[in-house]
Order: sequence, then structure tokens, then C-alpha cells
Amino acid sequence: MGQLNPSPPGKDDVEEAVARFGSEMYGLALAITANLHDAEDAYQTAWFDALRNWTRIRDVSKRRSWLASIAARSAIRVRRRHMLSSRLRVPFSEASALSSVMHWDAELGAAIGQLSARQRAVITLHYGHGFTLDEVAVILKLRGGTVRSHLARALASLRVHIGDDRG
Amino acid sequence: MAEIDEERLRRGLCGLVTMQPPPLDTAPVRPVPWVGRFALVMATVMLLAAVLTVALLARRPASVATTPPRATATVAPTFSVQPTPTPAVTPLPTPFTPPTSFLPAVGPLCTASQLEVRLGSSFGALGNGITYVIFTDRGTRRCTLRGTPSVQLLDARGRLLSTPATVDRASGYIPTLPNGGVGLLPLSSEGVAPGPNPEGGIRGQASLPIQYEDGGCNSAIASIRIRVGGGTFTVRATLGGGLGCQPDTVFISPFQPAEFLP
Repeated sequence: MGQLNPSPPGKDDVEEAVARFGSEMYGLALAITANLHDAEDAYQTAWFDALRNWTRIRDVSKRRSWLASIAARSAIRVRRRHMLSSRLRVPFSEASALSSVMHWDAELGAAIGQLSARQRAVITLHYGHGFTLDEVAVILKLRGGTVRSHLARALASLRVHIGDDRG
Repeated sequence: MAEIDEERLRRGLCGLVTMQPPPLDTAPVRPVPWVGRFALVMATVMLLAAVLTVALLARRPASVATTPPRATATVAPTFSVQPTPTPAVTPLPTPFTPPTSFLPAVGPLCTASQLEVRLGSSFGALGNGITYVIFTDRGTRRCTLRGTPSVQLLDARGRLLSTPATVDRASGYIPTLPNGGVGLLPLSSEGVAPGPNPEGGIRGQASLPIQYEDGGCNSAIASIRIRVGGGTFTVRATLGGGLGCQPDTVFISPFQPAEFLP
């Protein structure tokens, strides 16, 4: 891994955070964008944003959820840009889709790919990262009830998609 | 759950969030560059516009016909430069072949007198929203919209609230799809509702995307004032719902093709 952008934050501090939370942030970006290329873009941008504001987060114990929040926002921005580009018929590579990325459970990956970005964000933060639903609400800046509603709809949708595939 | 249990979800998503991330760029992601890139793009666009304008003026000295603007329910155009009508409409010099995709950005720049401006669709998700202002050619000749117009957000009494930026200052994100301008054809079929119906006579709509994020929009925003083609249009609009967006998080892009936007 290369040297990270400049000096403001301590280099060791940042590299430790990258090593510790990098995978989670990348996974979250991947889940929200549902596309490898967009996820890499969002991941890079998220770290850039995090480094710019590194000194704002003094409580190290909150760093994980803070980084998750930045990664989620970054992924949402990238996805929005992708949606705008799609109107101009930008080709989309199937190989980079979530079903291919989640090769250990491609069926689940394909079903998750059918969810909305917000639903994907909620289930990834809850089941993948292990955040409670209240923590997910804080990270995504949503109400607790809204998060629960998204989770319920996501699970219902997953049942339908996986049921359809088998039916 | 019948076919999918929480354990399977947990396993599947844990695999996702433990994937090896790509290495971070060694160079700063955006050192200052977006300022430079933006300036470069704008300079290129302005240079092209200047060259085209000079070329067009040289070819068509003063034969541009203008027609009075048509007001719609939502648009109140006022002109800082009064159009001077000429008795005869200059026909198009040569027929052209419509392309299969968006119209190429050729022809003179659109003037306010030939434009109809209305509020188009709005979309929102995850704390972000976008509202399109749609421009239609109601004149008698084709024209081109280029660059980013001057936009102001006004309150209900017409007072200036803010001027949207062309970049998202918080993140440095530039909401720009670079293009060389948007070509418009006159809307020849009267009575056809604008929308995804290119056979119905709509060709070459342009849009001005207005994006906003996080926290919705200031409920004080009551209208948007746009200066384009030597005139000023005021479109009644409230951005976002609920809490509304902060005026300083509203940002705009250059004109975009919008043939299929309702």
C-alpha cells in the first residue's frame, strides 16, 4: 500500500486505520454501488474525505462508524453519478456486478443486487458490519423506523428473488 | 425466513466486507486538481463557443429572426435585452439529417425569445435530490445551449437567497457531465405533451440539473431565476420535500441532453 496523502494526520495512525477498516469500507461501498469499478472510486474518495477531516474525530472509538458513514455517503454519490451516466448509455460490465463479486454465494449476490441502494446499505451495515439498527440509523442519517422498514422490505425482497430463482 | 436466513446473510455479507480493498492511490486523490480541471474545461468550452460564434456570425450576419417568448404557467420571462422582431423568418439554409442519438450541438446559440422553460422531473434518494429545469425550443430554427447559465435561488418575495455552486464544496465533487452543448430543434407539433415520445414532435430538449443533498432544501426557496440567451426566466420551484435543502448545498451542472425527461 502506498503512502497516503500528506502529513496533517499521523501517518501511522492513518495506515493503521486503513489496515483495520479498509476492508469494511470497501465492502460497504461495493454493496451500495453494486459494481466493482464504482466501489473502487467510492473507496478512494471516501479515504480522501476522511483524511481531510481526520482531526475532527477525536474519539477513536467512534472512528469505525464515522468511516462507515463517510464510505456510505461517498458510495451514494458515486452511484448517483453512475445513474446519471447510465442515461447516456455508459456500458455496464456484468463481470463487475455483485453476483459475480460474491462468488461464494452468487445467488445471494444476485438477489442483493436487486435491492435499492439504501436497502443494500442497511443490510450490509447490520449483517456484514454487525452494527445495531440504531447505529445504522446514525450512520446513514435516517430515522430508526425508516431503517427497520428498509430492513424488512429488503428481507422480503430477498425472499422473493431467491424463491423465484428456485421456483 | 423460508429460503434465506439471517445466518446466510451474515455469512454472505461478512465475506463482502472482508474482501481485500484496492490499494489507495499514492498520489493525493484530488490535490488541487479539480480547480485546474474545471478551469481547463471551462476555458475549452468558452474557446469553442467563441470560435463557433465568430464562425456563425461570419456566415449569417444579421438574419436571425426572433419571435416573442411564449409564457407558460410556471415561467415568467423578462428580458434585459429587447428582441427586435424582423418581418420575415429566415428559412434554414440546408436540410439536415437528424442523428440517431442526441442532436449535435451545432447552430447558433439559443436566444431567450425562442426558449420555453419549465420545471421538469425531480428525483430523490438517500438524502440527495435532483430537479431538472427543462428548456424547449419554441422558435423557428434550431439552436444550441452551451455551458452553465447563471442561476439564483429566490424566496417567495423574490429576494436572493443564494447562488448555487458548480461544485459540491464539501466533497470537491463536480456534478458535471462534460459536453459540447445541447442542440435543440423547434417544437413543431403543437399540443403534444413533453415527455418520452420522440415521435410526437419533441426533439432536442435540454435540461439544467439542479442537485442538492443532505438535510433537504431550505423551505424558503420559492423560485429559481435563470439567465440564458440574453434573457431572464423565473421558474417557480421548491427544491426537495420535508426538511428542504440548505441553499449552500445546491449545485448546478452545465446544460445536459434531456430528450426523454418528462
